[in-house]
Amino acid sequence: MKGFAGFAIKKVGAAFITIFAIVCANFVIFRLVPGDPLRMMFRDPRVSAEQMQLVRERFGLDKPLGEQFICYLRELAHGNLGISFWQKRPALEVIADRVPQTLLLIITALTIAVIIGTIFGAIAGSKMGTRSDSVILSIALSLYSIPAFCMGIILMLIFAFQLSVFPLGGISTAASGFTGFEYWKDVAWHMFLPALCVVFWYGGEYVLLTRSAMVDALGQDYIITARAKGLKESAILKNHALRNALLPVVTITGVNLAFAVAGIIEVETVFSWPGIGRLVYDAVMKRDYPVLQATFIVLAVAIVFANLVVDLIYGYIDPRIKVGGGE
Amino acid sequence: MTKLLHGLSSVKRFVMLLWTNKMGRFGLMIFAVFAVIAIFAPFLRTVDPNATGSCEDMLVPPNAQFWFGTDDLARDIWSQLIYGSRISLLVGFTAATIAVAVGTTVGVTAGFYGGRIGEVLMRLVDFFMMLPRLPLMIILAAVLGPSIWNIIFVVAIVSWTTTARVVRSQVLSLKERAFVEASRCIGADDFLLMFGEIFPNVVPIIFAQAVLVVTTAIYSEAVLAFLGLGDPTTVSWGMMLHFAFESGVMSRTPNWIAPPVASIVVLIIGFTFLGTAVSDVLKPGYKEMKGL
Amino acid sequence: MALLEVRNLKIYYFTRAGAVKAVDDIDLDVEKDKTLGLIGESGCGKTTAVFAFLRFVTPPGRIVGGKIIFEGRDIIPLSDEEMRLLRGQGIAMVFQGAQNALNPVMTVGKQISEVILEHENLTKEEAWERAKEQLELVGIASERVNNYPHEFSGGMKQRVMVAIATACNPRLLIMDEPVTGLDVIVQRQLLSLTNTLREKMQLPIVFITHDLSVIAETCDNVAVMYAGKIVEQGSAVSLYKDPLHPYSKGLIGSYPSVRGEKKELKSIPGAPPRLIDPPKGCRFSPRCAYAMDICRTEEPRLKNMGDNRAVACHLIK
Repeated sequence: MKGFAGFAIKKVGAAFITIFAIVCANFVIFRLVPGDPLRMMFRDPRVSAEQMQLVRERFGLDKPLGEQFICYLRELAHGNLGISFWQKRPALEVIADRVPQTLLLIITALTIAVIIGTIFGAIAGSKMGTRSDSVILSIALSLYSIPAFCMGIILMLIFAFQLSVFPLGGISTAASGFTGFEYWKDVAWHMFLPALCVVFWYGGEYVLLTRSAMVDALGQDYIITARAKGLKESAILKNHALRNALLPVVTITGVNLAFAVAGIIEVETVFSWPGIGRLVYDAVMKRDYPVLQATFIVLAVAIVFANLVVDLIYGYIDPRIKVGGGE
Repeated sequence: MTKLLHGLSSVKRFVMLLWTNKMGRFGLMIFAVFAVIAIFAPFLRTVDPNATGSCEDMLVPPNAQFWFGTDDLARDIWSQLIYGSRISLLVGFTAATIAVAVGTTVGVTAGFYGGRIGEVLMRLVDFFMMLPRLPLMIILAAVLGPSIWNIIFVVAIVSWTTTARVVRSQVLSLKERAFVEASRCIGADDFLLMFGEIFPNVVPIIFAQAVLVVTTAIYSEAVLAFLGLGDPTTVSWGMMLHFAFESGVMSRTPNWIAPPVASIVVLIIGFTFLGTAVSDVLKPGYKEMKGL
Repeated sequence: MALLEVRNLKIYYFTRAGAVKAVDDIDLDVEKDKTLGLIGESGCGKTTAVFAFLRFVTPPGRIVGGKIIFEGRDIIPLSDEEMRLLRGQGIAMVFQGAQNALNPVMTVGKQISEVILEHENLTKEEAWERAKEQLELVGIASERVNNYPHEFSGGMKQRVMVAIATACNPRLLIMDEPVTGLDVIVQRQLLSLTNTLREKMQLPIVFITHDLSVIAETCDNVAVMYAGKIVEQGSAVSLYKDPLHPYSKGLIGSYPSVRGEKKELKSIPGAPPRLIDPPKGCRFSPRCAYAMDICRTEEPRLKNMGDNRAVACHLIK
């Protein structure tokens, strides 16, 4: 695994550098804004001068910028991402409370989206130019280009308002007292529309990706070799074309995770799903800058890690990297 | 001057080429419709979209006076819809212009000079690309405050990187080509080379990028407005949705929600199709395939 | 009866600009124990013709006429399924050494055993053993059966291609420019492998190339193609010793000889014609030094001169 080890080390190193850069950027954004950062954070006039001074000292805001940065890094290393103004507790805690709901939504929806998207994309790619291809392509393109929040609002309009099939939002029916299986059924019912939203748009993207990867793969010389062997068409599509087409699809998955985050924010906001995405919206509405800042770091770092995982998976499945160089 | 005229006529030719593509035609028509609506807004039976009214005019369902009804501050939804097109197109195009201009400059410089400058610039691009776009836009917008220029700036700041990358790789491949060597032989200096020879060949790529960036810019403005970060004095479609969302009466006023949502979706789909058409048209062999 | 008989084969490409007559009415014979070389410059139609032997004619190309009779059966009207069964097992092909002719994510062993499992009734283990034997046959250590294509050099990849093509003991092997682009030492290895196949396995081969020296080493008979037509056919020896068609003469003459007197290399002036609107009469006439009036108006037919020679030229009676 010599080739893979070298590859992995390089990728992990790059990830750490990126995270450091993100941390610096975060600092810069909030410090280089004109005006007293504290005044911006404390728009509530009921905060007294002493309290402001306390916070100033605690966060080292009265020291020169260089020292502030060291302070910031030190706090960060201790897992201190600031205190939420709105909830009066550590921002990290606020975020941690919301993570499970987001994970539930993302993992379910993305898994379905990737499977459906890859299948339809492979079909469309193998039938390029035909009617089925055009149909699949147009549908996928439309679903993908509609902004997630618009899709959410449309679904809500139709199914929640007009038809009352699904709830208006939230993760469970308030004060219902459901437990166990009943509770999870309720959650699933609430999760249906937001998940559908994610599946539409993420799945659409995967159809497009897989389709173009399939078309590329089918244009390669080894497909002609495979045909000359007299193999069945299904074997050619599966073992030769698709197997190669999946490689770039895996790569793009990593790159697209950042866009997935944007979609989650939109969908959770529309459906009031209590996850990290909705937290961003709530923090904006409540002007809770520490939480906003903390969420940014957490999301950015999560994306870097997810990218890293995807890169490592890719390195493992591409024999050219796994086994290392040639002669 | 002649290069400029040449550039303009090539744009015209490009647009006509787009018209031959089915998706391109669709996209161009949508764009035309919204452009007309935006330009002729005052003549389309509208009132001041920001004009609030009295209590009995609030949340009125569609009638003869208010074609789409009114919102919770008695503002005419129809007028908001019509004038909203101005914001979407204005922010979209302005932000895209800035982003593409910055991206092109960075791309051409990095590609043309290479070496240390190129490396530094590309690291900068890589870094910006790593930051998650929507969260970045959100905190920037939150920190800078709600004004239309802040929105334009924020959108531009996350959109310039792809253009930079694409332009740079095009410049790199053009640099190797013989005609650059030939120009150098006759003593053309760097600047002349950059703008005289390389730039004209990068223009088609820039145009393709511009269409894509406009699409993202329109989307970004809509999202930011929906999340409450837009400029409350200039009502855009996203802001309309935000107000509707916050009002608590959303479930009972489809007349308030459906028009802006539909407008955003149609405009963005139109531009997306246009973007696909642009990349189809730019593929080598397109003209031959169409028998032109 | 010959193993493969091609009669009046016509393959045209239908483009917006017109029909490109890539292969225009050719006749070819491949004998059961002889190797046929097909020589001609790029674009003369030789690759298109042999691709047709595997029925690999893709749109906008189409077989518009003629017969390709393999083992007594015309393969043009065969169904897709019947043709598929024939490929790899009846007729097999080794392609030009492109970088991507082998699937990069599959081991070479799998790529060889794949074709065996498709056409023969063996278990996976037996097929795998056969794959190893095939590798040995082409001169590659059988331990490398688990390696991926990128771990081999260009010449070795070509040998793997040969291993794949011969895995099911095909009755006819086609080799399309198999040594083009390889360095001479590797060429030598591959050509000696080809000769082994000819002798040990008695495998009839159709060998396409534009390199005359290669033909001399590996082929019994030669057909010369120009602008979609066969202009001369015969044994390799007779073609070298005594080319009849002016084009063949030009080809032989343009090759430098290590021995013999130093003489000026003669190249053939001009360029091959566009095949959308080929010139009237003999297609070579615009470039032919000996062209007569009749050459420009009437197309010469391939005439059998007896003694395994045929030529299409008005000059030869």
